[in-house]
Amino acid sequence: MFSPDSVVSFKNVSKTYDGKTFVVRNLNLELKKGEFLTLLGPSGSGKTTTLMLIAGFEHPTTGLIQMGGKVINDLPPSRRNIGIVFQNYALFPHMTIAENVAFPLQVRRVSKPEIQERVSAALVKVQLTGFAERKPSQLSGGQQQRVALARALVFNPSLVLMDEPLGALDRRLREVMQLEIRSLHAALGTTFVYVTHDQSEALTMSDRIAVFHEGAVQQLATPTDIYENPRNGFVARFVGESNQFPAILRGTEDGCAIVETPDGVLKGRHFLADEAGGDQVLVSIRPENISFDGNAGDDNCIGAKVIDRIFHGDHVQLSLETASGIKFVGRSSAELGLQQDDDVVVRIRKEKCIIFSQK
Amino acid sequence: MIRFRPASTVGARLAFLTVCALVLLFLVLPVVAIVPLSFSADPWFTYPLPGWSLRWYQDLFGSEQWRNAFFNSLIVGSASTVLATLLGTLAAFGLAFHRVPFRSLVMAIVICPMIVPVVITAVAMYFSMQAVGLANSYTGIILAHTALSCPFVVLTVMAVLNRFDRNLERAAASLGAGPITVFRKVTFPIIAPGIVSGALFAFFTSWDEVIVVLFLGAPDQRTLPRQMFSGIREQLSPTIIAAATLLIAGYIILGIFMAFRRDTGVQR
Ligand SMILES: Nc1ncnc2c1ncn2[C@@H]1O[C@H](COP(=O)(O)OP(=O)(O)OP(=O)(O)O)[C@@H](O)[C@H]1O
Ligand SMILES: [Mg+2]
Repeated sequence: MFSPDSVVSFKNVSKTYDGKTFVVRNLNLELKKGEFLTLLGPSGSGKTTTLMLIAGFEHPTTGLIQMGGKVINDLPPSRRNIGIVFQNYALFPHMTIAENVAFPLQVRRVSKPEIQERVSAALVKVQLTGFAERKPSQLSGGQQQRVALARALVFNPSLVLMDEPLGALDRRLREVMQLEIRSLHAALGTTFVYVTHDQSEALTMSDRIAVFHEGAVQQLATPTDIYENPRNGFVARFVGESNQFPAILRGTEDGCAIVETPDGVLKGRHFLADEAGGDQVLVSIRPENISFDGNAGDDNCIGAKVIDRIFHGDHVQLSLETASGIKFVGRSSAELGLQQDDDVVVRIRKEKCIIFSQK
Repeated sequence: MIRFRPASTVGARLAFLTVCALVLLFLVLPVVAIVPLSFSADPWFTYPLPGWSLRWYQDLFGSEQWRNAFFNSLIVGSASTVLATLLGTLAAFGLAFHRVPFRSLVMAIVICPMIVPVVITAVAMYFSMQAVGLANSYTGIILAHTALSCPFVVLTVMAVLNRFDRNLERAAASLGAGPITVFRKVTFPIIAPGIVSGALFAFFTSWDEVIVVLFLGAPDQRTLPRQMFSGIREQLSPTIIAAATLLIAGYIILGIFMAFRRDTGVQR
């Protein structure tokens, strides 16, 4: 089964380095032509390994990797036509910027005048004209990053891989580069696979995000979908912030789950599999979905006390605690004027209260 | 660049510099002191010089023995350098880039010739070379010198390989270069300075070496150090000092050349 707009596809791919622990577990993943896919996950979740499997520097222990319909498990990296941007840039220190960018064209035996033309076009694209004759060590981190990009793009690869390419840059430069990479992607229409452990970077840049945890994809969806409809407690915790606490499932009603907490009953959307009444489940609520206009006794309203208040400029972060000791965080505008030790009744709309199975 | 820790006072700083100067003087003075003797008019090693002359240099260049010794040294040195550089570089690659069982044991064996007293190596070499019929031959000397200089090559090349970022090889491969191109265009140019300094070490190990040559060389197989050594025992004359002076000059020129190369290397 080969769909024409798939660039690379993983079929039940697993990888272990030592024969015992699986770094990638039973991965099924399809890269669509032209998309910006981000692999997001905590350290050690197998993102780099997945990228190296695509690039051909690692080989699957089991399973198939296909590219354009052909199995490429054993195709050497040099024959895959994939551009890679490494975290430390990996620019050749003994070559000038122009020579670095020309390298992929030279090994492809492109004619001299064409090399010259394409190198200068690539340097224009990343705004580095005038730096052609410098050595990489004479450039700043952000500039080296751009050279690495130019070098990975100049040979029109069918796919571009980036492993935490902005990890070494400071925050401001990172934001600038995020936008530049985004617009390069839009201009070129090449498929990008981007690795990061920074969830906000993933949300702002991607067409789709694959959330990794312990070598397995937890969810693969658009940023909005991942944020609004996380499939499990891990995704909800890792992408954006979430208050999570256990509760007892009482039943379901009109597609909503009804759970019981020591402080009252909550109704919410659920992603439960085979849980039955009485099982323990996980309640997950984002801070911005807690409002402070609740009435005691209403559905999905819970009383709490403000135990801490932190001013953030555009909003105020409130640490709250219920009578039974459940702690959670909420956000309000500063105008609301809530102070420490105030008693409040919070309201959680049932479509924003999500029930997961306990794992 | 040398960076001094800030000395607390000018006095301490002055004392520090004085000690440094004295140490440097101690290192070079004995060598410098003999240089004028090679220009002496008399064959006696005495100061003040009785007069200036170039007769010992004439002696040196006129002597077939010295000329032969020079060329022998050059041949033995070059051959053992080529061998040691080749073998040492390969060993360094294996040790630095691959999983080697009993790695530290292998390392210890490779480094051995550098640590074991040369006399012992020389005796051992003599017996083993004799067993295979290579005693009293240039081949034997070349092989022995190769063994002696290999550790220097292994150590210097390993030092650059340990600093070498292997992501560069991956980057090159991903850009379309096959393994041979990766080595030719990326790995080799970056580690070449390490190989060159390893080769220089190897050459001067052989160029300086006298003990192994004494054991393994036939009586007429003389390298420069051996020629000087026997000259000192047999007929001590300022010709030896003239030869030594030329060697020192050679070392100085080489040293300046290397320092210059390193400086421009850093700039680029
Ligand atoms: N060459 C290797 N040999 C053995 N184990 C490895 C190797 N490379 C990675 N691992 C292990 O595989 C696991 C996943 O590593 P990987 O580098 O894919 O994680 P990652 O998601 O990229 O993490 P990070 O965000 O820290 O880069 C880790 O536990 C790591 O220790
Ligand atoms: Mg990684």
